Amino acid sequence: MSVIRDGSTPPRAAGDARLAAGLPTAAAAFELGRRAFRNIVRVPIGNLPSLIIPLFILAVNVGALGAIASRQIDVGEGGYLAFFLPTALVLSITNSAVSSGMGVVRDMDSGYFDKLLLAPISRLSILLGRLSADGFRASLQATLLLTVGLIFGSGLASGPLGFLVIVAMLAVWALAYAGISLAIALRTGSIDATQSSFLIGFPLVFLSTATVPLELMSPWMRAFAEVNPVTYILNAVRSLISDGWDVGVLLRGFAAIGAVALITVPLSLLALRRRVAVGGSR
Amino acid sequence: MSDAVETVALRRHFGAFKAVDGVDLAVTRGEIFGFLGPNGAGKTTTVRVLTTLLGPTSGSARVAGYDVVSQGAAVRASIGVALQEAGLDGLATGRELLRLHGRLAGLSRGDAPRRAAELIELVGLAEAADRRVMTYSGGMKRRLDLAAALVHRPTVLFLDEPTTGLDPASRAIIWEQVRTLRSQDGVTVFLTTQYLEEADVLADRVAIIDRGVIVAEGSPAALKAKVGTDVIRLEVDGATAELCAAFTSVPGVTGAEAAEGGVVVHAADGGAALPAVLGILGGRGLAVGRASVSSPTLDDVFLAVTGRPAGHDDTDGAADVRAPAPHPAGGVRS
Ligand SMILES: Nc1ncnc2c1ncn2[C@@H]1O[C@H](COP(=O)(O)OP(=O)(O)OP(=O)(O)O)[C@@H](O)[C@H]1O
Ligand SMILES: [Mg+2]
Repeated sequence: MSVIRDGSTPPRAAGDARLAAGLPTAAAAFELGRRAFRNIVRVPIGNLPSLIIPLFILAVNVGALGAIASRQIDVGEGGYLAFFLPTALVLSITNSAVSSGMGVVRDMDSGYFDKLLLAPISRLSILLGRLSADGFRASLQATLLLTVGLIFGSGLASGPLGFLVIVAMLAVWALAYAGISLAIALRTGSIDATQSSFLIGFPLVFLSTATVPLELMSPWMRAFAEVNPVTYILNAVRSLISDGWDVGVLLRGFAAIGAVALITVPLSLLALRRRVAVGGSR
Repeated sequence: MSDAVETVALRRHFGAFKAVDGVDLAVTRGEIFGFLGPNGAGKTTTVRVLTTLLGPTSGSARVAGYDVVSQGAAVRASIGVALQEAGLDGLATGRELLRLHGRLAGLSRGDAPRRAAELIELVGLAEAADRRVMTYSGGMKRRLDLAAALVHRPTVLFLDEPTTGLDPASRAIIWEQVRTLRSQDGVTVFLTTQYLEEADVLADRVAIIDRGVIVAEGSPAALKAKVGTDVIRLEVDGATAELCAAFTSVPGVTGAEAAEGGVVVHAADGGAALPAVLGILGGRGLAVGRASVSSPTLDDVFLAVTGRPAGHDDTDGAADVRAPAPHPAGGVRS
């Protein structure tokens, strides 16, 4: 970010006339996002678990429970696959959001984070760059899993536009949820601590309508699921796959993501500010 | 014009630990400034404060005319930094890394690759430029880090122990770059090192820091003069008092005495005095078995100004003696 945009405009006469005018925030975020995505692609094995685990759970659940579940749940035309596919999608996206923080903490470990902090760009663009790469990765991941579901016959009631909305919703969810691992990464600088944010994802995904609708839950679980944002994301994705367009359900899904972002975005910005004050990757 | 680096009573404490404890520095523009100190002295902490990576606990610092606290962005736009541990992206190639940092510094999409190519040539990494950085050797990483620090043509360059752990060839490349940058581009260089010899060949002025406090400051020659002189050791048979007296007639020689197996000659500049000293021996038909010139080391200066040897670890005040610093300039200096 240039001097002026950072709000610390120097009296030019006092310093150098020859100041490097750094890249504006959006362009810097684009360049940094490209770099972050390139690194994701260069370690392809790193993306496998968050694809394979959901596919495995999807296959096992549909194969083993599909017949029983279909008797209890109104699964519609797509069968239990259509009911469970959104779960696999959300699980995959939620789990891989940990890698946003991991990317940052690895840069801190190698000292490269200091180099980014020293570049004449806004510090915000460092976070935005990371997030744009992760958002892009999440869209590819969602596209892939959704395509697998379609191939195996889940159906898609909302059609091609619904496909795009599902992918967009999951990408936005990836960004909102990534704030947690980013905040932990920036706050602790520790690989282990960041990796453990994985643990938040599991209860969040499974204490929701991931496996059964609200009506079939025990009271305590239902109470939790009703305030769990993942429930509303699942409902929205599920409605697009099984029922078509239900704007109310969609809005509630996006609102739930917005509510999460309202917590995670300030958390990660605060953590970034604190990290910068404490001093780079030290 | 203001100084390139200017600190007033600069302090950086970590809890109760005083890593930098009241440092006053003034580095003029276009100067190569050597910042010397043993392990844990506070060199890196000072550099991190000056480069805005770390906030000062108290005191003030200006770099390129800007305050490091209130004008951080302007400071960062003016400086190039190669930290002690080269922080690089192992998954990127050298060329990709330099292109990215060129872009971040505001170069256009067309200029950034050109500048990258230019810098690759400059630091001699042409062969490795398209390999991933994680395959680079330590010396190659250092050179790439230096190139990255130069991308936006900074006016003040911070190099934190740029040659520690490098072989003589890589060290010579870095020294050459530092000299060229100063002479061609007028860049001010703030360079930390543990070796007085390095400061001697590169720096115009030197400050020695110990336990967060500046203990000596001046030109390398003045600092060495404070401790004593260069020592020329000559292996020769038949050293007499008369011979020693003859040596003292050589300009710059401050004393000579017979020693085990030969003579020891003290001179302000051992390398300059050596030919005349050897000439005297030759004139008397005396064969020299071996001649060596050694300069006072950081340890000698350190011992002289603090009264104790430089320690490895300063956190508990332990003063275990370090192995002597290597002499990058070799035995006989030119
Ligand atoms: N973040 C930190 N927290 C606590 N102590 C620190 C921190 N950073 C540095 N120190 C301490 O401050 C002292 C000075 O460290 P610094 O890295 O500045 O030394 P240095 O002169 O660069 O040493 P070296 O030659 O080994 O690189 C050391 O004792 C170090 O342990
Ligand atoms: Mg250091």
